[in-house]
Amino acid sequence: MTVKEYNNAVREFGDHLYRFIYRSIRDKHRAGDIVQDTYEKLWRCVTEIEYAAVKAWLFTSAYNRMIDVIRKDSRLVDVEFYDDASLYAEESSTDLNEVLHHALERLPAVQRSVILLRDYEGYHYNEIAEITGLTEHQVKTYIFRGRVALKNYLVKTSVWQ
Amino acid sequence: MAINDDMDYPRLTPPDDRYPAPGNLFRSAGDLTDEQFDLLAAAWSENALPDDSLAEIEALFASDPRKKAYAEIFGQLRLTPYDEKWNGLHSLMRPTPTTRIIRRVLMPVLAAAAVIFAILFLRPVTDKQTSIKAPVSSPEVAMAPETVKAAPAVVKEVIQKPELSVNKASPATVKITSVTAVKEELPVPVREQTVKTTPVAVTARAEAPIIKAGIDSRELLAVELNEIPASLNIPEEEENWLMKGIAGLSKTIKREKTPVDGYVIAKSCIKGINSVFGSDMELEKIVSNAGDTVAVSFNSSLLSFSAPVRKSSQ
Repeated sequence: MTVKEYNNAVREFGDHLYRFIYRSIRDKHRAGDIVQDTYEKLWRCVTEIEYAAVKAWLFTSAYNRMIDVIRKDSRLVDVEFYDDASLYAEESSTDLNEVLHHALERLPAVQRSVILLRDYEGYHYNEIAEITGLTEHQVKTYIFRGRVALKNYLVKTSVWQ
Repeated sequence: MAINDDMDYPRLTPPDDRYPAPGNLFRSAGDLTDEQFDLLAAAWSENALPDDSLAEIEALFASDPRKKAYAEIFGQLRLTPYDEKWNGLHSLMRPTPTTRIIRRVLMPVLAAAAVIFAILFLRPVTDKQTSIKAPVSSPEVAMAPETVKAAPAVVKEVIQKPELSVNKASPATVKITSVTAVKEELPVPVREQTVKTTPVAVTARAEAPIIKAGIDSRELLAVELNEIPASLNIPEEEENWLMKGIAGLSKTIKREKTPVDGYVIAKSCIKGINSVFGSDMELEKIVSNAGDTVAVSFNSSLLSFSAPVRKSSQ
C-alpha cells in the first residue's frame, strides 16, 4: 500500500472506524485513542498490507485493541441486559433509531460489536467472524440474540406496545 | 473366565436404545416457545435461515398471519449510523513524497524569495513615500514616461532650460536663442523622452545645432554656454533617496572626492540583480529636449516610479 492509499484509507474508513469503536465503548476519548493506535499500527506495516484488505484489517485491529482496553478498564465491565429489570427505564425518546442506540448500550460488548458491524458496515457473517475471531455460527447467534434483546427493550420501555 | 469383548468395553446403554429415532429431535415451529420463536423470527428477518427451515416457517406464517406480523418487527430493528466524525482524523494523514519535497525545498525557497523581495522593494517604497512629500525644486520638469505620453510637451517648457552640458574635451560656445517667444503655445508631437544612453552629458557642437521639429533653424540663435563645474556635490539635505544613496555608495567605494556617475553604478547593480534573480527591473534616465537629465525612472513588474533629479545631482 502506498502513502496515497494510506491517506485514502484514513479519509475513507477513519470515521467509520471511530463510529464503530465509540458506539462499542461509549467513550469518545478512548475511541479516538484506539483509532489513532490502529492507524499508527497500520503505518508501521503499510507496505505489507494490500489496499483491498485494509478495511477488514483496520476493523480487526481496532476491535482487538478495544477488547484489550475493555479488559484493562474495570469501568467498562459489560452490563448484562436480560437480568436487570432496572435497566428498563421509561424511554423518553420516540425516535426509533435513538431508542435502539440506547438499547444497544445495554447489550454485552460482543453482541454490541457484531450488531454494529452488521448494521453500520453491512458486513456478512463470515466477515464479522474474521474480524471478531468468532465462528460464523457464534456470530449468527450473537446477532439473533441481540435483535431479540433490542425488541424486548422496546417492548418493556413502552416504546412498542 | 474367558475374556470377551463385552468385558473390555462394557456398554452403558442398551443396544436397542442407543440413538433416538431421527424425528424425535425436531420441533415444529408451532411447538417452539416464545423465546425460541423470537430467535427464529430474528434469523428469518436476516434471511439467515436454511431452505428447509425457511419453508417450515413460511408455512407457519401462512397458517397464522399474526406470527408473520410479529416476526416482521425484527426487520425494523436496524441501527442507522449517526454522522459522527473524529476531529483528530486529519492528524493521521501522512505526507506524500511530493508534499514532502514541497515542504522541505519549495517552501524555504519561496520564503527566502519573499525576504529578498521585501529587502529589495519594500525599502524603496517607504523611502519613496517620504520623498514624494518633500518639496521638489523644479516640479515642472519632473516627468515620468507615462506623463510625457499622456500630455504633449510644450516647446516652452523644454527649451526654457538652456543649460546644455557639453563634453569637457571639446568645450564650445553655442549661440542659441530661445524659441519660447516664437513657438510658445504650439504643442509639438509626442516624442519618446526616454533615452537609454548611459552618458549623462550630451554633445552639443556649435557647428551643428540641434534642429527641433517644426522649427526653422534660421531662427535659432546661439547662446553662450558655460562649462558645468566638474565637481558633483550632493548636499546633505538631498531628499532624493536614489541619488543620495548612489552617490554615497560610490563615494564609499572609490574613496575619493572625484565626481562619480551614479546612474551607471545604479544601472550596473540592477543589471546584476536581474541576472541573479531573473527579475526584470530597469533603471532609465529621462532627458529633456535640451539634453538635461530631468528624472530617473525605475520600472519593474511590481513597482514603477520616477524620481526628479536636481541639477546639482547631474
